[in-house]
Parts: sequence; C-alpha cells; structure tokens
Amino acid sequence: MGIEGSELLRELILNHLKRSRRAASIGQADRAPSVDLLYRELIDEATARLDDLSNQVAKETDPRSQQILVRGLERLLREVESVLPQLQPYLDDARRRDVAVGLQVSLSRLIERLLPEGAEPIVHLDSDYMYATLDLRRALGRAPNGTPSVVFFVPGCDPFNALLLPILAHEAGHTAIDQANLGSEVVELARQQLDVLLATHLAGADQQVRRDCQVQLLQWVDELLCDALAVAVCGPAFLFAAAAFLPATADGVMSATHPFPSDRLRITLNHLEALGWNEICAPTAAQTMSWLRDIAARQPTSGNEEFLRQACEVLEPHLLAVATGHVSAFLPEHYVAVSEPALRHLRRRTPPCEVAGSPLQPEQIQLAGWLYGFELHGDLPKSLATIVADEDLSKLLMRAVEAARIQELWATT
Amino acid sequence: MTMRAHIATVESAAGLAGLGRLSDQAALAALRARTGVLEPHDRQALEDGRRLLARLLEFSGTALPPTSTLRSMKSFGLMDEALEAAFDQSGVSEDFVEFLRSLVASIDLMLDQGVSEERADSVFNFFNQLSAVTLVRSTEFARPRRDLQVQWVSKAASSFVS
Repeated sequence: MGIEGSELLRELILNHLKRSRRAASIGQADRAPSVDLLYRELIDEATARLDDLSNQVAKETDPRSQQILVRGLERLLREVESVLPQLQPYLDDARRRDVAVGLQVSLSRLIERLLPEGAEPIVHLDSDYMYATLDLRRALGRAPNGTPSVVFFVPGCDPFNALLLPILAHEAGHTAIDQANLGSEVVELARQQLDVLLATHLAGADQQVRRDCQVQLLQWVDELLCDALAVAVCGPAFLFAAAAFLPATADGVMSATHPFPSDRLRITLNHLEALGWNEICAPTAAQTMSWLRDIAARQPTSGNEEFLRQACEVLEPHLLAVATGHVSAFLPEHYVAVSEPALRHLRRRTPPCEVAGSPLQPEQIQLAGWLYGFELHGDLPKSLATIVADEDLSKLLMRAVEAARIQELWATT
Repeated sequence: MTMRAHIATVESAAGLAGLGRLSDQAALAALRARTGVLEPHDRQALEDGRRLLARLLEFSGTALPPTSTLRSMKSFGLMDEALEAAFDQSGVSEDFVEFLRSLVASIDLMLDQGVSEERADSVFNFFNQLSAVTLVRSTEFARPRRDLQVQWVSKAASSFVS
C-alpha cells in the first residue's frame, strides 16, 4: 500500500475529524461540560496520533514495519468512524432542558451517596425498556480527568417513573463498584471459600470452561453487589421495584452476566431482614413479600448452576457488609418518624415533601410511595405492576422530590 | 441499535482499538529487537503486551482472579476471542496457555538480555496477527452489516407470530 495508501487514509481521517469538530462546536454543554471536554480530548488525541503515524510512515524503510504503521492509520480511521459518532448523542443529551427536576434531584442524591468520585449525570431517553449507566471515560478505557460523565439510560416510553427509580440505584452501583473497587473487597472476603468451591468444580475442566466460569462468577458478584448497594440506598423500595421490573417470575435460561431473579430477590429479602425492614413493610406488604420469598426456591438444573448458586450463598453475607461499609445505609430509624405524615400527604394527594419543617429525602419519598401504593392497590403480587403503572402516584412522588429540594435550597440561602 | 448493544459497541470499539494499538507497537518492538536496540517506547510496548498476556493467564488456574483483572480488560470476551484467533493463525502446535506462557518468557528475555531470532519472530508473529485480527473486528464495529441486523429483527418478529 505504501506512502500513497497512507496519504489516502490520512485525508479520510481528516474528513472525519473535521466533521467531529463541527459537531463539538454546535453548542456548549452547560449541564455536563465533562462530556464536551472528553469529546474534544478524543479529537485532539486522534489528530496528534494521525500526525505521528504519518511521520513514522514517511521515515520508515523496513517494509514490514511500514505495513504495521499503515495498518495503524487504518485502525485510527475505524476508531474515528465508530467511537466519535457513538458519543455524539450524549453531547445532545447534556443540553436537554426537558428532564424532570424530580429525576435530576434523585440522580444527584444517588451520586452523592454512591459515587466517591462524583459524576456529571447525562440523562439519555432510550428506545429500550431498560435502565443502565455508562461511565464514558471508563468505557473508553481512559484515565480519570476531573468529574466523570455518567450516562443514565432511562426508558424513553416511561422516563419519569418514580416507583422504578430504585433500579437506577442498582445501575449506579456499577459505577460505584468501578470507582471504589468494591467487587475486589467482596471477593477477598469470600476468597477462601470461593477458591475451594472453584477447585472442586473446575478440576478436570478445560481452559475455556475455566475462563468462562470465572468470568461469569465475577460478573455475578458485581450484579449481586449492585443489588446490595441499592438495598442500602433505597431500602424496601428496591425490592418492590426489582420484583416489578425484572420481573420476579423471570427464571428462565441461566444468564452469563446476571444471577437468577429468584436468587437476587431472595438475597435482597435477606438483606432487608438483616437491616430490620420487615416490621416496617409488614402492615401493608406482608403478603407480597411472603409470595416473593416462596418463589425464591429454585432447584438447580446443571452442575454449573449448582456451583454458581453455591457461590452466591458464600458471597451473601459479604455483599451487605461491603455495601453498608461503602454507603451509610437507609435504615428503618430514618423512615419511622416520617412514615405516617408522608402517608397522610399521599392519602390527601398532596406531595409528601416535608415533615416537621424538614425536607424529605428521595429514598424516604419513594418508600412512602410504594407503601401507599400497596394500601391503595392491595397487598397482592399483581399490585407490583399496578403500582408501577399508577401515573398519578408517580407524578406526585416526582413533585414531592422536587419540592423537597426547593425547600432544602431555600433553607440554606 | 439497542441500548445494550450500544454500550457494548462503545466499550468494544474502544477496547479493540486499544488492543490493536498495543499489538501494533509490540509487533514493531519485536521487529526492532531482532535488528537493533530497543528504544524506551519499544520496551514500554513489550511490557504492556506482557501484562496483557499475564492477565489472561490468571484465568487459567482454579483460583479466582481479582475482579480488578477482569475490570482492567474491558470487553474481556472480545479480547479473549481476538487473542485466540491470533493464536490459531500463528499455526503453532502448542496448547494456548502453554503458548501464552512461552510468549511471556520470550518477552522477559527480550527485555532482559535479548533473544534468538526464532523467539523474536514468534513474538512478532503473534502481535502482528493480533493487530490484523483486531483491525478486522474494528471494521465490523465501524461498519455493522445491515443484513445481520435485518435477520435479527425478522427472527424477533416471527417469535411473536409463532
């Protein structure tokens, strides 16, 4: 291909970089400047690499080395073709003005509690019915530089559902695990028992099976830890949101990345019991919780499943210990005093934003919303669905979060 | 594209590009090791390549590797696949894990005192193959085939009908 080929590639890359620069200069992202910074950084780096590679190709005399350098130019072309356009939607998201204030406040609270490095949240309304988070800098394998830009994906068809917001606590947990290396803490606490289990299970297994099994277990650790973090942050509201969203009945084929929903819910129920939440939930949701406990008794169907589920049991006590070591847990004593006044507000259809002059926190409002939901829709498993679909209740809760924040700001000025 | 696919694409495209750049630099360094003195950036490239192979080897035993190892290898499945493909195309008769171990040993020698041409060639061949494989996969991410997406959509649609 030689020099001529490298010159063609150089021009093609320059075309892409020119287009990308234009996209970056369309507007300034005032809400999450870090995403703009990251995008411009990627363009500048690609430009510098282009110059460096072009110079090396021109100087290189060895044909094999020259071939590798030209391949490097083609790789750079593919990189600017794929990575930069993938980031452009987030530049637009960072400039959105139509995101509910209640959602923004709830995200800020999650960030404040879960993420030691903080985050500039970018809300992305997505076509999938799914919640997720994406730390852009980490996803691109780049070293931290200032506050991370974290994209919060919410379903575009139901973006401001207050009852399902605890799912975002689980998702933010993934970023927390990355920022604070929490997965390693859990594995180290359970290492002795896990290694015994692995040695027995993997004896005689080939290399591919070993790798797959170990990677699967590490991914399951992350998911279970995210559940524990969401319990610590949201209390029982996470159980109800997860049971509605997963949903609780979704035990099918074993997932490479996620434990069975029934196991996740069983472990979540155990965490809640350990934190003392059962008595708080019993008056309005005892039957639903009992049903969730009953369905969480799955029989293993394969050797691999048995091993992984045994590993979950080994991990269980360490998950809550690491989660509550990372975040100051939302406990019954933080809710008891506000419960009745908050429920009274909801029965009157007024936003439960303050009790005795103190603004409520999003997690207190979400839990009151769920418990009022059971009061209104009945203590039945199907109410998990009807509560989530109660748009009036969801709007009321979002308003409450918004008003509580206004009151908090008012008090500090 | 679905959101999960999108997240995977962002991570995979970046992960593949990083792996590709690493393999380019390590291949160039292995070539220079045969013919002359290693520059500091060549040594760095070989050390980075060695670290990658050592991380993969952590998954070959029965003790669970630290989660940080998996976290440091974004898109682990894709990396694993690329490394296996490069190994297959290298045409050696050893077992994959043995082959990785011998590459690590060759890189250690290369960094320490220099190696035979044969060993330097095996390091070059592996990273050169890895460089080519990652470029092919990067191209697939940059230019996804429409026909595959259509197939997926029609399969999903037919599952509702049947």
